[in-house]
Amino acid sequence: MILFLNQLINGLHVGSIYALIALGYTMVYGIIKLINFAHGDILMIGAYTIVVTISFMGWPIAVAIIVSILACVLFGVVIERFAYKPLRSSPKISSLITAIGVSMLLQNGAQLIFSPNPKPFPILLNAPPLNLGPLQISFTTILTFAVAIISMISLQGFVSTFKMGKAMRAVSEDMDAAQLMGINANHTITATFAIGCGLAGVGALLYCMAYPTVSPTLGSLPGIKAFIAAVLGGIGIMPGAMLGGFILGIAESLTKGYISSQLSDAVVYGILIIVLLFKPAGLLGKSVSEKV
Amino acid sequence: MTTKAKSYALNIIALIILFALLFSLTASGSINNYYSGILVTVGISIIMTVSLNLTTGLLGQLALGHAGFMSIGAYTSAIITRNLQGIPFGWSLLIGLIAGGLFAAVCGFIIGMPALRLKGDYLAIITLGFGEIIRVVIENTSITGGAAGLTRITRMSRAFSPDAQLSSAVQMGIVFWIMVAVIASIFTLGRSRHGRAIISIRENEVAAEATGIPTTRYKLLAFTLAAFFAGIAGGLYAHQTGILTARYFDFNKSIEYLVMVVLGGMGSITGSILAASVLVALPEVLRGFASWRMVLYSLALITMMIFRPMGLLGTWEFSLSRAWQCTGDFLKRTFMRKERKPKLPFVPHYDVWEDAPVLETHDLGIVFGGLVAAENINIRLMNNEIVGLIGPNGAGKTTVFNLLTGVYSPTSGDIILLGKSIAGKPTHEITNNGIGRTFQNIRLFKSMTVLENIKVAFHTRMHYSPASGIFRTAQYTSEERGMDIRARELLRVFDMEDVADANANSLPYGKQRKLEICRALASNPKVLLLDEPAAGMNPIETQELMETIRIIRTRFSVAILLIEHDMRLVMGICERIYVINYGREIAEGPPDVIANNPDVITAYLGIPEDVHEERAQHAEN
Amino acid sequence: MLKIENVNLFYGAIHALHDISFHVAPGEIVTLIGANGAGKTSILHAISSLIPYRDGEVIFSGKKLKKLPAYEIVNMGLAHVPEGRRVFGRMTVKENLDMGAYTRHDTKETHADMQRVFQHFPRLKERRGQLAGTLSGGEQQMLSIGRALMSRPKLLMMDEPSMGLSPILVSEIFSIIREINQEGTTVLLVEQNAHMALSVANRGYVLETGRVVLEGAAKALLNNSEVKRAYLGTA
Repeated sequence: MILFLNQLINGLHVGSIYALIALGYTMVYGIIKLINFAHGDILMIGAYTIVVTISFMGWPIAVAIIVSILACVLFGVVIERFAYKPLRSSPKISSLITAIGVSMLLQNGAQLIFSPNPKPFPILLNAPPLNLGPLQISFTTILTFAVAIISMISLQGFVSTFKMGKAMRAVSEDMDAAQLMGINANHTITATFAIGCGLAGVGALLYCMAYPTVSPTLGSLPGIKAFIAAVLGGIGIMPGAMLGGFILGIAESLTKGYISSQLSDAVVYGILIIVLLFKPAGLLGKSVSEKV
Repeated sequence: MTTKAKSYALNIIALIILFALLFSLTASGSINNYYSGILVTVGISIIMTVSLNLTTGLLGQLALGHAGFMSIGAYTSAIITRNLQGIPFGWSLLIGLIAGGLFAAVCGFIIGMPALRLKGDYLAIITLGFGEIIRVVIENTSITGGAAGLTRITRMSRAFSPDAQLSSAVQMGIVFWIMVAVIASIFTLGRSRHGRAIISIRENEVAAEATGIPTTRYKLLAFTLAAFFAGIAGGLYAHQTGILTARYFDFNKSIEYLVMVVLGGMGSITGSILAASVLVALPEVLRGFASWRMVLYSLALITMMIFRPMGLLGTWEFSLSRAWQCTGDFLKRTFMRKERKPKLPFVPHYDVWEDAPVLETHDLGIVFGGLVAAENINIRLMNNEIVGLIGPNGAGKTTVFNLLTGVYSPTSGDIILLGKSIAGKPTHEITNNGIGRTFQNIRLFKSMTVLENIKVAFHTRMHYSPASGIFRTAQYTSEERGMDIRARELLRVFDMEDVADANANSLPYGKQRKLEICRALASNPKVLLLDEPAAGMNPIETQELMETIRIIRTRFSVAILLIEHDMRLVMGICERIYVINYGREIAEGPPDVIANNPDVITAYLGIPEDVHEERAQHAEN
Repeated sequence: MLKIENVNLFYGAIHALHDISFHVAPGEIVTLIGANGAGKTSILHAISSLIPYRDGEVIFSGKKLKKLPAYEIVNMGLAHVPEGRRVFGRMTVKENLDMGAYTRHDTKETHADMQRVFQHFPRLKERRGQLAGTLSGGEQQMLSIGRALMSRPKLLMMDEPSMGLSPILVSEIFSIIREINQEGTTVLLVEQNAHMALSVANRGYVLETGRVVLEGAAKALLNNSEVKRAYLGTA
C-alpha cells in the first residue's frame, strides 16, 4: 500500500509535468495541425537559460525564472515565424520534416555552445519534505503539482473568457470561418505558440527540479512523452492533454515500482497503442469520418 | 516491347559498368576501407529509404517505425549466422538475410493489421509506438544480448577472404547487388497493377475503394513488403558493423530515414536514392567543420523544406533510356522479343432477367449518431433504365449513393443487386459485383495519367500476382497490354484518346468529369451511379452530356441512377424520377408527373403554397 | 455599395470565374443563382479574400478589397455567412455570437445587438449555453446568420442558407432575411433554391460555368422562360 501510494505520488509528480508540456503540444497541433517536434527542445532552452542566468551570472532566482520562460516564448515565436509560417499551405509532411530539422538545429546548436557534457541544474529551493504518517512527499512534488494545476486552470480560464483565448479556439476549429469573424489568424497562431512555449518553460523548470542535469538532448524524452500524452487524450483537445499526461505519469511510475523500470517505456507505448486501436482519436477525441 | 528491351539492356549495362568501377577501385585500394565503409552505409540507407518510400511515398501513409523492422532483421540474421557455424559463411549469411527479411515482414504484417486502420498523424504515432516497443523488447530479451547488445557478429568484410582490401570489395558488391534488386523490385512493382492499386490509395482512398481496389489488403501488402526490405537492410547492417545495440534503432533512426524520403521527394525512387546518398555523405563531407557540421546539416534541411516543400525531385523519376534515347538503336535488333498476345480484362457476366430489377432497395435507412440521414428509401432500377434522384441540397441524395456503394453501412433495410443482398459489404466488393459510381466533387487519381486512372479500375479483372509484376513475367506483359488496349478503346468512345498520357489533374473540368465516368465504366458495372454529372457545365456541355449518357446506356448496357439539379437534364433523359427531401422519399414517377406534383414543387422548388395555387389558377386561365 | 469588376479566378488549370461583374446597391437584396459548380461560392470567397483571384477588382464602400486580408474586410462592414454554416461546434452559442462581434469594442451596443439577434432567433436564446455542435441543422443556420449580424454589417453575404433545411425552416429563414433587410442591412444572397431566392430579392444574376449569363429584376427573372426551364423545373 505504501509502495502504491508512493508510486502514485511520483506518478502525479511526473504526470503533471507531462501534462503541462502536452498542453503546449496540443495547442500548437490544434491550431496548425503540426506535430511540433521541436517542442521538447524548447524545454532544453528554458533549462539552459536557468543554468546560465543562475549558475554563471548569479541572477536572483525569480528573475532567472521569468527570463527563462520569456526565452522559451521568444524561441517559440521566432521558430513559428521563420520555419513554420512559410510552409502553412504545403503538405503536412513537409512541415513535419521542418519541425524535425528545427529540433536537430536546437539540439546541435546547444551542443555547440554548451558542449555535449551535462551541466548540473542549480538547486532552487531547499525545503523539508512533508511527512504524512509513513508517507513522505517532497516539497518539489507538492510545488510541481500546484504549479501545474494552477497553470492549467488559468489556461482554461484564459481560453474560455478572454477574447484572444476564444479566438484561439475558433481558429483551431475552423480557420476560414474565424477569419470571416475578423480574427487575424496569424496573430492568433503566434499567440498560441507563445503560450504553448511559455508552458514548456514552466515545464522545463519543474522537470529540471526533478531531474537536475541539463544536456542538449534534455528535451527529447519529455517531449516525446508529452506528445504521446497529447495523442492519448485526443490531440488538439486541452483537457485531453492533461488527462493523457497524468495517465502516462502514473502508468510509468507504477510500472517502475511493480514490474521493471526498463519496461516502463514499453508499457507507455502499449497503453498508447491499445487506446488508439479502440479509440482512434484518443480518449476524449471524436473520430470524424471523411465526407464523401 | 523493343524500347522496353532497349531500356532494360541500357540499365543493366550501366549497372555493370558502375559495379565494375566501384569493385576494381575498392579492390585496388583507390577507395580505401573508410570510403568503402561509407559506400556500404549509403547502400543500406538507400534500401531503407526506398522501402520506406513504398509506404510513405507510394501508399501515402506516414510511418515512423521503420528502424524497428530494420532491427528485427538485424538481430534475426545475426543470431542465425552466429549459430550456423557448420556451413560456409556465404550460405549462412544468405539464410540469415532472408530469414531476417521474412521475420521483419511477419512482424510488419502483425503490426500493420491493426495499425493501418489509423491515418495520418495517428498512424505515425502508433508506428512510432510499435517501433519503440520492438526496441524495448529486444533490450529485455536474453537471446538478443539485452541492453548490451550482440558483439562478435562475423563481418562480411572479414569473412570472405584473408585479404582485407579484396573482401571490402566483396562486401560492397553484396550490398550493391542487393540494393539494385530492392530498387528494381520496388520500381517494377510500382508499375504493375498492384503498384497502381497502392498509388491509387495515396491519391484518393475513397475513389480507390469505389474503383474496386481492396484498399486494406493493399495497404498491408505495401507495409509488409517495406518491412521485408527493411529487415534485409538490417541484416546487412549487422554484418557490416559486427556489433548491434538496440538503442541504435530508436525512433530517431526511423526519423532519419523519413527525412531522406521526404527530402528526395515522396514517391520518387530516384529522389530517395539521391537523398540517401547525399544525407549519408553530407556529415562526412562536413567533417572538416567539426562541431558545426550537424548545425549546418539541420539548417540545410530546414532551408530545403521551406524552398522545396515537395522534396528535391517531387515524384519525378530518372530514366536512363529517356536520357540516352538515341544511342541504343542497334540494341533493338539484338534484343527483339516476340510480341506477347494481349490478354484482355475479363468481362463479368451478369444474370439479368427482363422484368426483374437490377437494383432494388427495401426500406433503406441510416442513422448517424441519432440523426436520421435517410429512412424508408425504396428505389428500383430496371435493366437499362435511366432514373433521376432529385431533391434540395442536403436532402440526403449523396447519402443514398454512399449506402448503395457501401461507403456507409445501412442501419435499416436491404439493398438487392441482381438478386443478391449487398447491404453491409465493403465498397470494393460492391464495385466488383456491378455498381460503378462517380463523385459530386470529382475524385480522380490526380497525379496518375488518364490511362492509369482507367487501368486501376481493371484491377480486379486481371490476375497476375505481385511477384509476376516485380519480375515482369509473360503473364504480366500480356495482361498489361490487354489493359492498355481496352483502356484506349474506352477512351476512344469518349473522344479522349489524345489525352491518354496526360496527368488527370491537367485536364479541363469537363474532361475530368468524363474521365471519372470512363473509370466507373471500366469495371464493367451493371448499374452506374452519377452524382451531379452536369455540375459546373454550361448548357452546351450539358446537352452533350445528355447525349453521352444515352450512348453509355445502350453501348455498355447499364442502368443509370443520377443525382442532378439541372432540370433540363433530369427532365430530358430520365424515364423515372425519385424525389427525396429530409432523407425521405416524397415522390416517384415519370418526369411530367413529377414536375407537376404539388409536394415536389413545395419541397424542392421552394414555392410557397399560396404562390403555387396562384400559379395553378394562372395555368387554368 | 459593392461592385465587382471583371474578376477572373483560377483553381490550378481550371478557370473558375470568367470576367465576373455585378453590383449591389444600398438597401437591396441581390441574389446570385445557378447550378452547383457554377461559381457562386467562389465569388463570395473571392470577395471575402478567402481565395486570391487573378485579376479584376472588388470595391466595397469605395475601397478596393483586393489583397486585404480576410479579417480586415469584416471590419469594414462586410459579413459573410459561409456555405454549410461553419459554426464553431465546440463553442457555446453565446461564444459563437461573441466571435461574431470580435472586431467590435463597444460592449454596450454589442450587448444590445445580441438581444436583437435573440429577437430574430428566440431558439438561440433558449440554447445560448449549449455547444453549437449539438444544435440541429436549422438552428446552426440561424446561429451562423446571427453570428454574422453581430459584426453589425452594412452588407451581409449569405451562401446557400436553405441548404439541408426542411421547407418550413427554409421559409422561416427567408422571412428573417427579409426582416434583416428591412432593418437596413443590404443582402447578397447566393442560392440554389432559385425560386425562393428570387421571390425575396430585388434583383438577380444567373451564373453558368463561372459566367454571368443573365441579369435583371427578380420578378422578370422569375418569369424568364430560360430560368424557369433550368432552375424552376417548369416549362
